[in-house]
Amino acid sequence: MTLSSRRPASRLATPVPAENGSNGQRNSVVLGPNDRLVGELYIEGDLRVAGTVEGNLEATGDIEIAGAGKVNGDVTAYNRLTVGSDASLIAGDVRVARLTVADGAKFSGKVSMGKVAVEPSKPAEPEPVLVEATPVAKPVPVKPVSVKTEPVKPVPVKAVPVKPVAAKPAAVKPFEQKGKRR
Amino acid sequence: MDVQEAVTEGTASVDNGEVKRDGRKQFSMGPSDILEGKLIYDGSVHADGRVEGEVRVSGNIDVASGANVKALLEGANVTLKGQVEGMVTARDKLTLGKNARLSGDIQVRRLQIDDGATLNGHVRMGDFEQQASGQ
Repeated sequence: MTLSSRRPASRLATPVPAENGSNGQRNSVVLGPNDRLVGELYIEGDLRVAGTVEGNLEATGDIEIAGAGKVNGDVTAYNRLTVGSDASLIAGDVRVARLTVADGAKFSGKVSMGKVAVEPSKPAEPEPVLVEATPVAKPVPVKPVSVKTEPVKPVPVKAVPVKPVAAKPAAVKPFEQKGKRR
Repeated sequence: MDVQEAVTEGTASVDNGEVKRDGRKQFSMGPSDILEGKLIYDGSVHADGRVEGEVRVSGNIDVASGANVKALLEGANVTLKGQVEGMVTARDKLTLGKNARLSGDIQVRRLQIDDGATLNGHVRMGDFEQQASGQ
């Protein structure tokens, strides 16, 4: 094997994702027949389910449950929900602007339709909890207790001047010389 | 079974509203007819005009596009094209046409909702023989 200076094939111009229509077009997610989702999914765009979903789905565009797709959970589509003839939707809540159910589909749940049904779910699904601004206890404005900071008088420590004991040179008596007179 | 407590007003009476089709009776209402009360009928009903109360039939019910129904509806195949308020039971199939507006719970074996229809209510699908066809 010889080293080649040519770029590996994988580095050659890869197909730009724009070909998939993700540029400038609405986002679209597809779950194929062998795909399975457990949990929650929120899509800004369209969603097509041909697989199995256990959980809640929410899409700002359309949701289509196609083929033998099965969804077990709440579904919110800001635009349209389509349930195909072999598809199944067993839901708690279905909130959609438009709904199409094909003959043969399995469908059950609580359906709320119209723009009104979908709009409120945008900011927050549960009704906004109004936090009442009733002050439980008025915060008493704490007076700044003016602590008089008395300047601590420096107690003048009397520096007792230690008298330097003048070491008097002991007067040494001159030794009398006695033998001189002899 | 026959008509009970049924009051019809307008141009059609029960007699001239009832027509035979394929050997089965059909109770047919016109756009200006009014039915108030409880109708239990062995045949099919074409509801138009205004209906209030309860309609239980052995055959099919279809509600015309201009009809205004505030009633409990029960039939084998129920086709709605107008405005309906109330519980709907279809022992076989319920169809909501594109102009149908239904608010009420539904119990069906099969369901078809055309684009443009409006539905607000609980949907139950499956067997319900024991409670639906007992009366």
